[in-house]
Amino acid sequence: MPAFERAELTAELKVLTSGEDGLRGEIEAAKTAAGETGLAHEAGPETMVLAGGRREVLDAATRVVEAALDAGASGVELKIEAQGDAPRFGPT
Amino acid sequence: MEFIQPLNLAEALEAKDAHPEAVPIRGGTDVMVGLNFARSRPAAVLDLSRVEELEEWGLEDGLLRVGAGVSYTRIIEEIGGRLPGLARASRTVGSPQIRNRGTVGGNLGTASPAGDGLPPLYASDAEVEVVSTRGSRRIPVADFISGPKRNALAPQELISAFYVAEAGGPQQYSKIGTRNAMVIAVCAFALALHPESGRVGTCVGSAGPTPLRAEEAERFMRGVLEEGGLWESRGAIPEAALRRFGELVAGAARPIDDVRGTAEYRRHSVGVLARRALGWAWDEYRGVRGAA
Amino acid sequence: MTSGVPIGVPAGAMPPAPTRERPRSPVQRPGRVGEESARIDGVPKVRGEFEYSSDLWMDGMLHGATLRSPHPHANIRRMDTSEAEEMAGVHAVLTHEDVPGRKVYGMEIPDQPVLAWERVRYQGEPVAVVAADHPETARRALEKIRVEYEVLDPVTSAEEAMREDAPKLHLSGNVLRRVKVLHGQPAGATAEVVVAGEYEVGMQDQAFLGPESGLAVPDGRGGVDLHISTQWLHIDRDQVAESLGLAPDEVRLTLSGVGGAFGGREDLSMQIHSCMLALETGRPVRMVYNREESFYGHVHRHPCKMRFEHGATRDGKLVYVRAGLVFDGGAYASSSNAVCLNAATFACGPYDVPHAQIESHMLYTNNPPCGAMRGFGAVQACFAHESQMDRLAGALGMDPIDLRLKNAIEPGMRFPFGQEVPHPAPVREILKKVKDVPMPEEQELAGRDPRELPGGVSNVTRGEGVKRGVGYAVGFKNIGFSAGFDDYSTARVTLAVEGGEPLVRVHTAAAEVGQGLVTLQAQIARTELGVERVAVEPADTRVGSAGSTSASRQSYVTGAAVEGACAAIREHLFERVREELGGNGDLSLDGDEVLSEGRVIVSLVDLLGDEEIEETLEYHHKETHPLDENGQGDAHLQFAFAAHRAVVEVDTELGLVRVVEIATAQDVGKIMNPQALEGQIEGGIAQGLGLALMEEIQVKSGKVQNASFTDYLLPTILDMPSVRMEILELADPEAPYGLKGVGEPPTISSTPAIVAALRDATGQPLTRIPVRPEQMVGISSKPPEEPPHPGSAGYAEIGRLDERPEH
Repeated sequence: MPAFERAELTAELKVLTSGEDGLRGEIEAAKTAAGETGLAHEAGPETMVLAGGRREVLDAATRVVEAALDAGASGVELKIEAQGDAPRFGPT
Repeated sequence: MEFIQPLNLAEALEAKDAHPEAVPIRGGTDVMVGLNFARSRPAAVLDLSRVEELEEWGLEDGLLRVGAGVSYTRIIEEIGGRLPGLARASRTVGSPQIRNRGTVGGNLGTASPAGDGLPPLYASDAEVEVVSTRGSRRIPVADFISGPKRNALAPQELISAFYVAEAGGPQQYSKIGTRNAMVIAVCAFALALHPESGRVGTCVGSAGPTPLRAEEAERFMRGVLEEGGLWESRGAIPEAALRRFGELVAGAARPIDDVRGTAEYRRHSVGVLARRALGWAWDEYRGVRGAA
Repeated sequence: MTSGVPIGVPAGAMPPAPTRERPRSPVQRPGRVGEESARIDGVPKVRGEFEYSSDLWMDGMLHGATLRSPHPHANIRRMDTSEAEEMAGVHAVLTHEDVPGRKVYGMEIPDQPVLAWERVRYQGEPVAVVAADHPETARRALEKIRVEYEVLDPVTSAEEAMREDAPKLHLSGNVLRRVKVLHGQPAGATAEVVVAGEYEVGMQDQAFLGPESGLAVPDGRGGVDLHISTQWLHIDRDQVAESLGLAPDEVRLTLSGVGGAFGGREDLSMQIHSCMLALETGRPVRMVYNREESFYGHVHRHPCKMRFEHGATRDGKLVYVRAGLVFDGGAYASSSNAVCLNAATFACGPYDVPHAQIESHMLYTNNPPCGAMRGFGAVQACFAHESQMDRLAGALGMDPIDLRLKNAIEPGMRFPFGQEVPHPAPVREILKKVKDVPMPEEQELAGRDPRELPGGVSNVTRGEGVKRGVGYAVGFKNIGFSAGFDDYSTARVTLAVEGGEPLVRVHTAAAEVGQGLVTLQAQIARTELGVERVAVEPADTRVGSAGSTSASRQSYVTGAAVEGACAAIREHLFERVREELGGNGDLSLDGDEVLSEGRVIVSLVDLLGDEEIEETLEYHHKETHPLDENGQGDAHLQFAFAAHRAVVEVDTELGLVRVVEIATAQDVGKIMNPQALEGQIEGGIAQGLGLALMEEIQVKSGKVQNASFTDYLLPTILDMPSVRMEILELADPEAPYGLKGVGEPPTISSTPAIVAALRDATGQPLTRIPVRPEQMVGISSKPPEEPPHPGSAGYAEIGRLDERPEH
């Protein structure tokens, strides 16, 4: 990630739906769960990003994945990026 | 978009007759803004910038006839001595570049209550001359401006000139803007003393749907001057009368709140301007040094 | 380099992937550091010959246009682009579905959609982009894009956004940042004299004259070259590449002519859009915003509400400051995080405050996004702390300058955020200097030229109601990026003989935005290498990042990089001289020659021959640190201080103002180029004057009311007074040449000085800026609540975005 994003870890989650229309519920469930972690922002119609300290992002990602699967998502694409010098900034 | 460029007035009138929907353009300081912001997309534009007849001015039957295409710069430089109120107003229009392009004809065409050229015409009872292939007619300016952004022009007509008497007494124009140059009026006030008839002409600008004569203030001050024999004696107007005049002008305003100022401030400040402008004009009439 | 397509020449046989000629770098003969040195681009700019980014042109290029949301808050139900796509002359209509890479961007937090997908959060948010063979065709195509919105109630203030029941504008809520600074024991602090006040700052705009614009040229191999006016090429490059799904080296940026920036070009505007259109169509695509669109196209200065309480002893020694600052960040993050931090650290002003409790909040709303602007959080804070100091002086019956002198911070003390005050920190000196500038003589009111009266040519007063007022303020600001950011710049310098004379070429990616860096780099090369001729290469991404042209940092950071690269070349030359000529004395460079003990021993032409010496240097400034949870830390690199005195005349009956004179004292460390310095100081003061008196984007119900220079008023030359300057050169031992950043301090304390003078003249409290005539005559303290009605000209003539035909 460019710029000032200093989060130790950034997780990008894309919710995969079964392909039929009207299944936004899976995405909504994932977004709600992501929002509750306090680490999230939207990054596309089916995509959200969690940014923060290593432990909290991993925990949050698990919760979001579970929420999506519980709501019937066929899968979740997960991409995790670590920021090299983030430890200098401590937990965010 | 059709672009029509007549070379003289006759051609212009024929073009307007054939294309009544065509939007006349001369200086372009209003029309081009609308075009550039895609606010208006007229089917045709009638460019009057080559019509030399519109650039003429002179005396006709004891009145000044000023072509609709005379720029503000030329009004200041060439007619400023004869129409000091209009010249003062012209000096407050935009920047030098805008004054080189813009015309009183444009102010009349746009009919914005904020047009700086309009209040001096009201204060001196000017008439607007409009022409078409069928002839011309003269309309008092207060009738010509029929509403906010509306005028009495028929689709086939063009504004050709305005008629106004040479100043017979002192004239003033003052306007409020939140910066000290190049600003559209928050409100404005024009004043013309008419010693020959004993009248005081006024007009409030940019504080109502159209420029507004402050008729009650005019009657009041006419009475004060008559009653005190002040025209003859050239004596001072009592301070209380000046204040009352200001209040009456403020009362004539019909202002609104907008991005440029509140209604309350407009009403307040136009009253202050009126009081001061009358004081300056009267001092000038009395021959007080430095009053002009 | 592939063959270029020259401007204005018929294309003939167009190559499949045309490229633009790389701009030439004119040879300068600059002065040395400290000497007057005229701008190389000064004359072309005045003559209208300078190529700004809005002048970019290539044969065969297409024109891009942007469809923007008319609503500050809405769900997008449906979008239909088919009709637009079918129009003759339209080459591409793109929506969020066509964003190849990351669909969001942002400097601190990538939370802003490249093109909105299901929700729009501010009026003017981009929804779709079009490329067509004519700008008018592109605009008409926008009208053919059908967007069905479900309009939602907008969140229109930070206070509203904080409420429990406020709609959540982003997944994790509306609070974007909260910074707390705790210093001493503020909780129990009491004082003999206490003053409290609430202050408000309106939304100022950078109002650069050159609108957002650029030209994207596809390279035929999947990559793209973007010619752009920006403040930081590499951060643009990285964000563009991410969203295009390309590797960074497939996106090459070249700086085009920048018509002003002031922070408003740190964020992306049309960069990704133009590249998407260029890659989609395989044709060069130019995008140029018009003036109105520019108001929607960049971030603004944060509106802010502040509540301050100052406690002091009876003899005027500050005991504590408690402050709460609430910023409206608008719809997206931009650089709001850093602004929030800056405001918190500068809230107490440059004073010795034993106890402090500062809380700074940044909220998301449905107002226009706010971000960087000259002064960056220090501006808002300074208006509040300086207003408070005057209020305290009033309560104590003390002279406002004496109160400030008594409490001025000094080297060795600690700022409330815990950092030690470095040397020099001449708060006292600049206050005394500005006070000692002789007062402008009071002129007779009668008989003045109207331009020397409040209202100017508008002929409103001949002296009636005019009162004079005097006000003082002092402010400070961090220079460079703070709080742990690895802030650096890269310079590549080459020395060779060209045309029979030595020529230094300086190549950096640092953006010249009007501030004069293009001259400064040449001056440094001239000074360090003793070479008469210097060419500063066009800034582009072929060289490493220079960081942002912001935070008053380029003279410091890029200056140091150029100095370092030159020093490396110099060492290289001296080594050669020692090897080849055996000299071992004290070597120096001057007049294109190498000197030993002051005597010429070899000319550079002879020494270099055909050789070219190249050195690249990356300069990283001293490490800074983030604040801890109590807002403590060595967060900032350097501090710059300025003080201002304003003398005004106010028509107290009409509330109209003439600023008679501004006197300023500023510590710049080292005057690098006197002319450029004066330009920065005068320009900065003009921007501060604008905020004090007239510059405000008026937003009602989330909608901008005055997106034009008809109604967003900037000071003209008749509003700007002459400036008397007292410049201090107290060297910062850690900075190149001892210099301090100069761009921002003039903007920061000029505003409160002017407002203090207005209070002095009118006796009104004036707690909100810009100060309106209404407030000065005591009619109203606030602008109207109701949205304006059309009818009095201006926007009614132009029309507003939300009144446009919608499909």
